[in-house]
Amino acid sequence: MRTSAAGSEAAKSSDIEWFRSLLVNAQLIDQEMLPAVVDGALLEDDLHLDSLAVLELHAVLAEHLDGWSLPRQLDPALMTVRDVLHYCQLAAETRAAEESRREFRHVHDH
Amino acid sequence: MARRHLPAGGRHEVSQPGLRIGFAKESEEQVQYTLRAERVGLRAIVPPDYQVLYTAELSEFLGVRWRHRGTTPSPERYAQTLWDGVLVQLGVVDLDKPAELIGIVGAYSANLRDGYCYLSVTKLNGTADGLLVLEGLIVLIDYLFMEFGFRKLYAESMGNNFSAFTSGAGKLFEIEGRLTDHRMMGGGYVDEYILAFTRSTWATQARRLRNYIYGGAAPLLSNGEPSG
Repeated sequence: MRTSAAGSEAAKSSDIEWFRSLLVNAQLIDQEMLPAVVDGALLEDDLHLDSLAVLELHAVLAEHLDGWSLPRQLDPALMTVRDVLHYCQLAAETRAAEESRREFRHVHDH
Repeated sequence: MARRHLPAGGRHEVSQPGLRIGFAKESEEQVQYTLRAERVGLRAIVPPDYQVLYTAELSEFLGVRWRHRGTTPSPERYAQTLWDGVLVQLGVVDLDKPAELIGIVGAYSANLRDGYCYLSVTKLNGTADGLLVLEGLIVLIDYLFMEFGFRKLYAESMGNNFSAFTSGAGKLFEIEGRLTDHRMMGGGYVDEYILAFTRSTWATQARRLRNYIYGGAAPLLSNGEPSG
């Protein structure tokens, strides 16, 4: 899993891989579309997700991110794959920061 | 953030994990839900709601898109047709703002002999949270499979409405029919899709969505196969 200490290029590559696995788990895209996702091509195309797909993504993130979720107030009609990736990054970075704090407290307390 | 749950006083609750089915007693002070999940509640539609629903159904947002298709029934006629052929019809509310109806979900044209009925769903205005209304529909689908024993639930959807949940095709539901250029809308004809949710597919493919909506383990739903 990524940490906030990773370099930006490595983090971006890891983000895309992770996002790809989210999409596969949610069955939002076909296998044939995966290379395009990995290349970032779809991210540039502002592919829109429908409401059901956004709800499925909420469910995927709730399952994988242990309590973190996409902002509910966003209009699904305006949400793109790029937006989703952005929020996945934010959620993962925030979680990584929290884990770092927890580890620090654990070391400090002992 | 901890979710605020309304007090359960005045209700008899059937204790199934996740899905709470309340049988309401009269109370002015609190909203009584027929069905409730983590973020969304489904409550009875009562005569004081009719004016809001009438206005919403004839609004620019819904008028030509939903059941009256641009016609304007009288308020008296509307109150009668609201329940024509209906098996279940409930108002959708956000549990954080329970005073406002944001959508309607329903089941109609039930055929108990052959084990199917038709679904209806709409949000009441353009600013309502469409995801919550979708969650309300999923709670209703659970209820219909669990309490009525249906094996198939059909939905008729015009092309422009279908675009909101196209991604579920082949996974949560099957497209069993497509009537091309079937409905007049906005100066042209649009396709109408006939979608089918089956009990067995729902029990397996909707698991993650249902877990999310109930905030944990969703109620157990059998796939309809005989046990043993």
